[in-house]
Amino acid sequence: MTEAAIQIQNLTKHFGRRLGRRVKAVDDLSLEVAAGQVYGFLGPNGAGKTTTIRMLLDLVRPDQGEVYLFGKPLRRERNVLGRVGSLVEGAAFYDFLTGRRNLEVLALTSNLDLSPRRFEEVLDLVEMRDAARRRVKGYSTGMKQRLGIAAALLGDPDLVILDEPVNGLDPRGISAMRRLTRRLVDELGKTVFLSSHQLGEVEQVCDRVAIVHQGRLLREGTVQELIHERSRLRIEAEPLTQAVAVLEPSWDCAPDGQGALLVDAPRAQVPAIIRQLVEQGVRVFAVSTQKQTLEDYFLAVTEERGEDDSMAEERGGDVG
Amino acid sequence: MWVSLFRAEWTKIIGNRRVTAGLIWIFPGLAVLATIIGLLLALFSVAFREGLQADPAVWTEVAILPWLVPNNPLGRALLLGFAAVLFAGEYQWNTWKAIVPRSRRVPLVLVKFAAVAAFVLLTFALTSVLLTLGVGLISLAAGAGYGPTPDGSALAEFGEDYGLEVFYAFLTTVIASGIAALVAMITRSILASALISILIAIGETLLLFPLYLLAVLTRTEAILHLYRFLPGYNLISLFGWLAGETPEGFELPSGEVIVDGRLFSATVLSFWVIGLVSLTAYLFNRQDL
Repeated sequence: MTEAAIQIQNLTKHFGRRLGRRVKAVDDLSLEVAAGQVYGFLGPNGAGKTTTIRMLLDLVRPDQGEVYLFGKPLRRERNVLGRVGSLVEGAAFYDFLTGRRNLEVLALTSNLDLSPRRFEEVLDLVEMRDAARRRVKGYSTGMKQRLGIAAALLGDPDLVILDEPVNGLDPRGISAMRRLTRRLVDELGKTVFLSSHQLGEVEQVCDRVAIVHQGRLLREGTVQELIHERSRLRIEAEPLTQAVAVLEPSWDCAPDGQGALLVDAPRAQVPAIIRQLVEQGVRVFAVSTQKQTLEDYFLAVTEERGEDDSMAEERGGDVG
Repeated sequence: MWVSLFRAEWTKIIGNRRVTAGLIWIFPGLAVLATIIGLLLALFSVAFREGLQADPAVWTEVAILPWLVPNNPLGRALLLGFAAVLFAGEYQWNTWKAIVPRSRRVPLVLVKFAAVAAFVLLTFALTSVLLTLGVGLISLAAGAGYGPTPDGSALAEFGEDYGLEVFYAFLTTVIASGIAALVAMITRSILASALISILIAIGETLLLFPLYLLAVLTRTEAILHLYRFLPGYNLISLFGWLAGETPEGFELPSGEVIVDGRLFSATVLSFWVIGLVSLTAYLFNRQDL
């Protein structure tokens, strides 16, 4: 069995008070990240991603729940963070020091006795060896971000936690980041826990993803599983109005304006849908599955959840 | 681990040249400037030379001069500003999030106190050496004496005075750092920490008046005794004793004058040092970053 790099159990965190009530940033969140994979952690703004990541790094104390890293409870065995490298919400450095000096400060803080070669290795990895001689003050956002990634990798960690790592990177940097992320897992055997809004990138680079919304876990699975969980079918049928009348009670559907019907339904339901249409006298000419992207899936589930929550709020329910 | 953390903190302090130059290096800088001006005067002003020959400088007094800076409001404000940058800077620059996962929180904050104190004390020591040598050069150029002869008894007496002044500067620096650190944890801003810390330091010494008013209005003289436990009062009191004078103390409505002894003030200040450092470490250990 693969060792879990991260295990989160019933994690809950409240912050301050807004309009008289405490804001629940993370709500009874549980998930497990097996070692040796790129794990995407997705969610809209305010979903609790960064708070969760901060709890993984002991920057924020959970109100309830436990974090286990490599099987060790973070609260009692904090030293396990020595196996973790991180980049949280954009790189932050002492801008009066050079890039290299910043890495040295971080190595000293970690009590790591690193050889000069190690600094060069990580700087080469992010193509910052020359720029690292200059003060961080003059760096672009992308350069700071790359130095942040170098800092995360400095101690040769087993688990790399990256929060929005491609923010500020140009397309070339994003592509390099994608390759580096895969390399960390495929060649160096590390685990990467990645939070990003760049869903195209996540789709390309992640093995599994979790989607959180308002602090709760909405979905979790491989990218392929999630994409195929909700697919969009294009059905050419006549008469179209009757086809809509047949399917509307069960599925989200609408004419596409080109004589076909678009139906949001899993691919596995295709035979049942065809049977239903034919039984009701609708002639079906063609059925095709439109390729869904992770972004389509993400938008669909988070919007759906947002609508559910709005309805619950109208009913006076606590959506936390 | 401790040495490594200290080296990291030291690298940050030394690297932040603008702040160290503006708030701390200014002291040895002033010593060098004073030496240059003194030398020019010794070379070109007869009146200055004659004045110095008539009333020669005493190196045991000159060496102690820089250590009096923390007792000066401007000097204390500079120390508070320096501590505010070091503590609040980590919040304002967002760097705690890179550091805290790499080390335990309590050592991080304790080492920061140690680094601030060590840096300030070393700077004052350097200033003291520069000023002592500088005034020696000036005296030499002016043809004036520069006593006392550094024999055993003079050195022993000087060592005791010097040690007490260093201890006093240490207490002042750590108390200033403690106040700045606590304010930094709340405000998370360098400017706010510096300003509020300075206001607290000034306000605390002015607290006697409202306490006095309260004591008179409520006819409870005991309220005024609270003032005896404030750091500002005890720093002034201790400074007076170290200067070889009896401190002024303060008067109760009944006319009784309160003057606390050297040991009392040193004890209260030691409690403040331990209390502020411990409270900072405790709160930082629980703080969400």
